[in-house]
Amino acid sequence: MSGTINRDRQAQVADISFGLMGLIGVIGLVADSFDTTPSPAYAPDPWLTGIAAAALMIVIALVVTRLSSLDRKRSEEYTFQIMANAAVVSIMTSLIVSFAWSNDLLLGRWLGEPSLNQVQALMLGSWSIGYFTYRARGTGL
Amino acid sequence: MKNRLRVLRAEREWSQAELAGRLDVSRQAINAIETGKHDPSLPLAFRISRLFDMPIEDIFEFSED
Repeated sequence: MSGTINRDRQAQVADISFGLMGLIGVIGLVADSFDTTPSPAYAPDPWLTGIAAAALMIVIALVVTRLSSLDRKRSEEYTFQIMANAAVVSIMTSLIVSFAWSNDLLLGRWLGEPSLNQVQALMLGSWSIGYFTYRARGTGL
Repeated sequence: MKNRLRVLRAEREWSQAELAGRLDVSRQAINAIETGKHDPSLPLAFRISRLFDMPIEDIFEFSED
């Protein structure tokens, strides 16, 4: 029965992690709205900025892909599936909301441009909501 | 996908936690499979089949829904 304890514990750790992520997402969204600190200036060379950002994206994406495949082997498959489903919800929500938010014809005229922190908080919060929605549908919490 | 997991488990008087332990998955996973909210992976379906000593198609029934 030791397997049960470990797998159930994994599921509980996922629940707690996603609960905290949701909390951080909501707090981050609200708190960043009060932050009036101006953004730091961009790097003077646009080529350097573009190449550095592209290189960072490629390296981090490869590292995360590698780590997530390890995670898939080790984590409980049901928990992993709802985490993955919720990640799709998070990406789609972040894309749609940030588009609507930054577009002057939509919410942008009232809310202004979303900050990077707010987009990140949006991703965390929507991932958490997606996770618990799938969790509730699957097992009734 | 429909399945007979709940019936087979009940026949053996196993709890969801006990079955989960035998299959090395969480109790939530068993709950989700029994209620039809989650389809197990092929390796897990084979483990279930082996545990109950029955062919997979006698446990799981494919439906288009």
